[in-house]
Amino acid sequence: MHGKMPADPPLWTLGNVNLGHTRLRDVSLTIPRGVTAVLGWSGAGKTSLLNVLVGFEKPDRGILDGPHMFYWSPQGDGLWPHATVREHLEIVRCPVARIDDLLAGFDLSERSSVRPAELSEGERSRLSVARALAAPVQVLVMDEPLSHVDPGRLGRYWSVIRGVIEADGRSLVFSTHSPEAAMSQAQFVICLREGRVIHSGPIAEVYSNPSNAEVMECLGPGNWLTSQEAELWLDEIIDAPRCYRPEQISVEPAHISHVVVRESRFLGSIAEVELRHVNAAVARKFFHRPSGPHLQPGSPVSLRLRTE
Amino acid sequence: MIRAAEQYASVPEQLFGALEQAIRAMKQLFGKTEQAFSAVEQSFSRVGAQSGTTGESGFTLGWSLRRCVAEGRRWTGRSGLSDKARRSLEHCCEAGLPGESDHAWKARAALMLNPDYHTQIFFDVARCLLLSGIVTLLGGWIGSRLPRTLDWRQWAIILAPLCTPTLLVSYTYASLGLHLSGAPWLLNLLYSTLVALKLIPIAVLARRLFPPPISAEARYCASLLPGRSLSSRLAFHTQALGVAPWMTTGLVFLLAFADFELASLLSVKTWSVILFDAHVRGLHIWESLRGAFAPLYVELAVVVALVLLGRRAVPGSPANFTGGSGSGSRWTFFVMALISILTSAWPIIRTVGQSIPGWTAVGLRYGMSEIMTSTAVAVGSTFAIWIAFDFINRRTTRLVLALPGLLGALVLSLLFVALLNTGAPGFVFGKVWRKEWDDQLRILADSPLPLIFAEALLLAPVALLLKSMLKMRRPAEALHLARMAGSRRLLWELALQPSVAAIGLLFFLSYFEFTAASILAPVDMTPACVRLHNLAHYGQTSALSAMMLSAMLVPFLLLALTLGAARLYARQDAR
Repeated sequence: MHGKMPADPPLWTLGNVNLGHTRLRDVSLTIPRGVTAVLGWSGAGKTSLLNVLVGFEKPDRGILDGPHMFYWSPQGDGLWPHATVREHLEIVRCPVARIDDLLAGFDLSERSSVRPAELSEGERSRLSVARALAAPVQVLVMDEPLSHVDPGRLGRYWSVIRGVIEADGRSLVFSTHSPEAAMSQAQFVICLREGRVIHSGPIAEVYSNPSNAEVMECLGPGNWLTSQEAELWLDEIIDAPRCYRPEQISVEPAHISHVVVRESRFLGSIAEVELRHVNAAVARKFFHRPSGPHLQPGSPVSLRLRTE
Repeated sequence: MIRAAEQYASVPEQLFGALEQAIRAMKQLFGKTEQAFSAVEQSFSRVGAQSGTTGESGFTLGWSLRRCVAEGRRWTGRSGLSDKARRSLEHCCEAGLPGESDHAWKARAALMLNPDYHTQIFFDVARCLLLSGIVTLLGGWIGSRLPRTLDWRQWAIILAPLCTPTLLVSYTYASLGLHLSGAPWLLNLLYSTLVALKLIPIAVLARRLFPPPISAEARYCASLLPGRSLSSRLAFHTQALGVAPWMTTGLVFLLAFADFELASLLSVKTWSVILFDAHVRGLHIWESLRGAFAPLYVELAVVVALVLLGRRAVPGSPANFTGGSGSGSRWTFFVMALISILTSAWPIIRTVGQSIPGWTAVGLRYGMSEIMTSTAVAVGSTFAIWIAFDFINRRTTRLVLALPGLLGALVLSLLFVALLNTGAPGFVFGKVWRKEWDDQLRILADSPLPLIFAEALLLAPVALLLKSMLKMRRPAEALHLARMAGSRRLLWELALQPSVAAIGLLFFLSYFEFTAASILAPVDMTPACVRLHNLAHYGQTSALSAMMLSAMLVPFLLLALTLGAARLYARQDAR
């Protein structure tokens, strides 16, 4: 879904938007057309920002300019307790053929005649997304979509969302905790922390060249190295501190090295290793993508940048 | 009979003579005692008031009469009647009622419910419909704007109008009602306002405890849809509102429609006042029941509607209650506080102020036996219904047990009287029913058991609601961990304290219940509320205020003692 940023006028423009004492603080940004992810830890202000965008909450101060026609999948699913699954899609005036496609796409066909109270959390969250996709609007806002869905089926449901968005040329703004979801779906990212925007921009740029360690962490684990650290650990000369993502770092067993392993933990697709520089008598942690066997404590390793 | 009693009762020394006459009349007219004794007592009290013997002397007069009535009641015991008593009774019966024949009296009694009784029911239905709508709207508005979390002081202010005894409120505003007696519409307005203010906490509670099934986000999602017509939006929001507001309206209607106590002391004419007065003045129980049919149909229709609505109810998540904040919330709380001042603080302050001179003269001396009776009946009925719901697990059985209470105290009490005193079971069950069982039922009617049972049924809807709320909010996992830890303090805080508070509320409601108590209490066991209500008809005096206050303090004292003892027990184990 990565592509060239569209040159169309932005969807939303926010100028010094404030909400509550700390929920949103002086938020100024533009949200372009396409798919935008809003990232941040719990309490960072993701839901507050989306609530303001859709008009569910009014900012205390600031300027907000945005589209008049959009639909919303709120964090608490916002389902209508008196309507069945199918009626949810009918109420938003979705064509019958598309209703069946969406129900099938989100595995809700067999539950089409039941009401929300009888649905599981995962089904409710899928229905909320399906209803938003069913609405005949060009802009969608989703607050942590598919949040209760089992990870094994997440990819399939995201592909349904992507399919509908791309087919109709719609725009989507969604919030998420998951850097993977943001990376795989969005073109643009907004990173929030404690009610402030710490960075916004094209996601590829934020991933590969974040402005600071905080922004780096928004899109997942990384190694933030100062010039001295880069020289000491990687033999690299850099002008300013920068980020090295796990896939850029290689930690390989070596026969002789000044660097030894203190502790290593495999985290799934990446590993966290704590290394000690014997000569400099310093230690620090690195994230890397392991390509070989588990590194044993005390074993010497070589640390370098991947060239490919 | 009343005329005869009034004629004789004007001179206190002739009270016993008057009583004899009354008993004669009673025996002749009804063949049973209850209504006649009540009528005699009322007529004596009225005479006492008319002859200016209010206050302390009026109280003494009433008290003497009470004893006379109890004595007379013993004369007419069905079994073990002494020869002397039988002779006396036969003599009385032979003497008959001077000046009024049996036929004439029956005709006069039948007229008590006519001609405007049914018009009054129609008027009351209209008034209560309007009132319940306003109460639900206002209570819902207040409930939705109050802060999401409230401390115990704020809860006390919200619940105060509901928990202040109706007797105290009616006693406070009775003199204002008397001033307005020349303007019936103003009097009705005062009465309806007081009923509404007292019932608003129910609507506030309903709004908080049963939030709308639709969340604020879901409502906003519906508003985002483009191009929907006004009618489809209206239909959507009406449907999404859920059944809670309609059920609240129904419940408030039932409570307002069944009110008797407030109307009676304010001298407002309602169907319940007309029927009650006719009944205690001697209207035959079948006539009273016939009169109760029309209001019973109205109440049953509302109860059926409530049951049907309850079956359609979609439970709302507590998260759907967002509450208010800021200045809007503060203003709402101010409105609630104002309601509490009018219906709770002011009646209490006024009664306390009035009671100070009378406190030394009366204190608890004259009211202790009535207070003990009320306490015993309230304890019996509260625990009976609480334990009954503990043993009944089937939802349908629980609902069936809770439904009679919704018919109101007057209708329920009349049904009890009919069941116990008229041989109605024999009529219903035919040959299966043995004749001697009727006598046993009559003996039962002379005991406090029917009153305890009726009070328990009247408490049943509230008890069921409280039980359900406790079950819903029971922190099962935390409670299990507390049991594992064997911590008394945690068990107290998590499980016992809410239960004690709920039982305390039921006790309070039963203690101050008037209508059933006045109809079903045995003559020699008068509950405090009945005696105070009867005395309150004759104006406000310092002695009566002191008695009222002492009767009111007892349930609070008992609750405080229970809570204090339980807390001490819990504190011994401070884990």
